[in-house]
Amino acid sequence: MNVLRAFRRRAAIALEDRELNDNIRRSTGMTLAKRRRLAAADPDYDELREKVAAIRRESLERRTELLAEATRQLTAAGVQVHTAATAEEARRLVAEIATRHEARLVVKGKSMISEEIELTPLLQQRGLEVLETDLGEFIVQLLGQPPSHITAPALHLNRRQVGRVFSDKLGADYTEIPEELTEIARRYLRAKFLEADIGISGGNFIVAETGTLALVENEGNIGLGTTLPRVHIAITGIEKIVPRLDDLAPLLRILPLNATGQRAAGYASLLNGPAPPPSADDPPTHGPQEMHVIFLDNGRTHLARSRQADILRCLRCGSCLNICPIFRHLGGHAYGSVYPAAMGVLLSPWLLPIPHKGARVWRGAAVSGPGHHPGNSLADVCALCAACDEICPAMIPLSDLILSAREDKGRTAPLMQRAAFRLFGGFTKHPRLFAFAGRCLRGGLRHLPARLLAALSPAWSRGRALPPIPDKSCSETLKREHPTRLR
Amino acid sequence: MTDTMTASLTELCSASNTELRMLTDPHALADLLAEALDFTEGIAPPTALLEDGRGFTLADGVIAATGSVVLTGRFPDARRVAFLAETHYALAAEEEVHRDLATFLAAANAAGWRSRVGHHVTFITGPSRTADIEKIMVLGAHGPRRLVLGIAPLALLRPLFGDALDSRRKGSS
Repeated sequence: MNVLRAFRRRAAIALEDRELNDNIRRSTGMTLAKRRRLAAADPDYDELREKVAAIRRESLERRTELLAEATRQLTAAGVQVHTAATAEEARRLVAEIATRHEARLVVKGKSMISEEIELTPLLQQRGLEVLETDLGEFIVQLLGQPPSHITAPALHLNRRQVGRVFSDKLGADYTEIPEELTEIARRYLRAKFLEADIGISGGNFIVAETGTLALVENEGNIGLGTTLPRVHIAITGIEKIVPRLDDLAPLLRILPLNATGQRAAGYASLLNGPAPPPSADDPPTHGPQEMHVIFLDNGRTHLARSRQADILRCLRCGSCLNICPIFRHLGGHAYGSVYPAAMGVLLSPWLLPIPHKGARVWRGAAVSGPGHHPGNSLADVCALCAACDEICPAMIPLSDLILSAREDKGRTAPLMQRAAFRLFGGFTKHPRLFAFAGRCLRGGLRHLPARLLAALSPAWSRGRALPPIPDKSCSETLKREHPTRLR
Repeated sequence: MTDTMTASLTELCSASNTELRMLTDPHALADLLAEALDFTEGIAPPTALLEDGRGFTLADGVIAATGSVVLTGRFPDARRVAFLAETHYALAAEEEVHRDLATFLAAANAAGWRSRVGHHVTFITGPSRTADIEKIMVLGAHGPRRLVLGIAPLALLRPLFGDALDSRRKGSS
C-alpha cells in the first residue's frame, strides 16, 4: 500500500486517542523543557554544536576510510568484525553466532538498529528466548508493540497502562507507582541477566582511531548485558564511526543533553574489546570473553550518495521527534517505521525492505536504487516548520533535506499530476498570464454552486467550508490595502 | 583540589544523586572502607562485591565537569561490581580529579590508550536510573540504587592499597 495512505489511516486513529495524545505531549514537553534549561545555561553550547556538526560531517565524508580503520583497530583488539549489506545478512550473522554458542537466552540493550533489522522475531523463531532489558523497551515487548520513540520506547503509555501490562503479562499485583513498576522489571530481568548467554547492544559511536565502541545509557542494563554474558554482539550502522578518540568528548556531552536533558548520561561505556582472559586470582565471572561488532549498511551507502546524505550525520538523540508538531500529535507508531519524524522520514525510505514482509516499494514506478524508492517517502507529511533544524545537535538541515525528498517524490508522481503542476509552474513564471488566468478562474468559479465546488475539492472540504471566491486576487488586495509594503 | 572545584563537584554530585564524601583524614577514609566492605586492617582489595549487595571499586579518577566516576580495565572485575551492586562505593584519589572528559581522554590517549585503560573505560554519573514511565525519575533501574563517591588524597590511599594503586599509576604517569 501507498505509505502516505497507510500513514493517514494510522494518523486518523491516533488523533482520536486522547490518552495517547496526552501521554506523548506531556513526555515530549518534559524532555524539551529539561533540554532547553540545560542548553540555555551552557554558554558554550553553540560552539559545542558547531564542533559536533564538524565531526559528523567529517564522519560522513571519510566513511569508507573510517570503516576500514575501525575494522583494523577492532580486529587488532580481538573483536570479531562483520559487515552486513542487508538486514537479512545481519540477522543471519547474529543467528550463526548464537548457534555456535548453543545459546538459549539473549538479553538486549535498547538498539534501534536491531528494531530496523527485526532481529528479535528471527531469534525467537530459532527457539531462543530474547528479552529487551531497557524498561521502556521491555514494556513494549510485553505488549507486542514496536517502540514509539527512538530514545523513549514507551513514551506513548502512562503508568496505568504499564501497570496493566505487568499484571497481565507478568502476573504482578497491579500497581501504578513508577518505583514499584521499575522494581518489578528489575527483579524479573536481573535473573535473566545472570543466566544470559549473549548480550546484544547497538552502538552510539565507534572511534576509528582506537577501535572503541561507545555505549550511552542510564539504566545499567547495557552495562550488565555487555559484562555478564560470555558473548557480546554490537550491531551498528556504518555511519556511526567517528574519526578520533577526542571526538567523544563533545559527542558524549551533546547526546545526553539533547536526548534527556542531562549533563552526562548515567553510564558511558567505552569498550575496547573483550575482557582479558581470567587468571587464577581473577574471578572468571566477568565478560565478555568474545565480542563481535556487526557494521550494517542496509541502504546507507546508497543514501550517502543521494541528496539526503546528511541525515547520516544523525546522533539518534530524538530531539527532532520531541519538537515535531506532527509527532507530538501522533506518536511514532503512525509513521509505520521504527524511525519516525524528521530523521525517520529521511532515513526510512532508504532502508532495504525485509524480504519476508514483502516489498514495501510503491508500485508503478522504477526503483532508483537498492530498495529505495522516493515515492516511499513520507516527506509530504512534514509541515516544513523547521523547528527540527533549530534543535538538531548535528546541525542537519532537516527541512531542506525533506524538501529535496519531496522534489524527488514529485518526480515519481502520476503523469497527470506532474503535467498539472508543470502547467501551473508555467503560469507562475509569467505574471500577466497568471493574473489573467486568475481573473478567468475567479469569474468562472463564482458561478458554480457551493456543493459542486466542495465535490471538486474533497480533501479540502472534509471538515472545512470553502471560503467564498474573492473578487480580487491576493496581490490586488495587498496593493490596495498595504500599498507601501509591496514593491 | 581548589575550594571552587570542591564546591562545583558537590553541586554536580547532588544533582545526579551521587553521595559525595571528601575524605580528608585517615578516620574518614577508614569509616568509608568499613562501611563499603567491612575492611578494618591490612591491604584493601581494589574491587569487592559482597553478598548483601555492597560493591566497592577503587576508581581511576573523577571527571569534575560532570561529577562522574571513572573506572577502567585495570581491575578486570570493576564493571561487574559497578553494575551488579545495590550500593556502589567508589573511591578516587584527589590527584586524579580530571577537569573534564576532553582532558581525561587526551591524557589517556597520550599514555597509549589501551595500555592505559585496558579493555574499557566506564564513566558513571549517579546511581542507575530510568524515566521510561511518564518521564518520572526512578533511581535503581537495573544497577546500583546508591552511588557513594569518596575522594581522598593519594597519600592516605597508598598505605591501604599498596601495589594495586602503584601498578595502576604506572601507565598513567
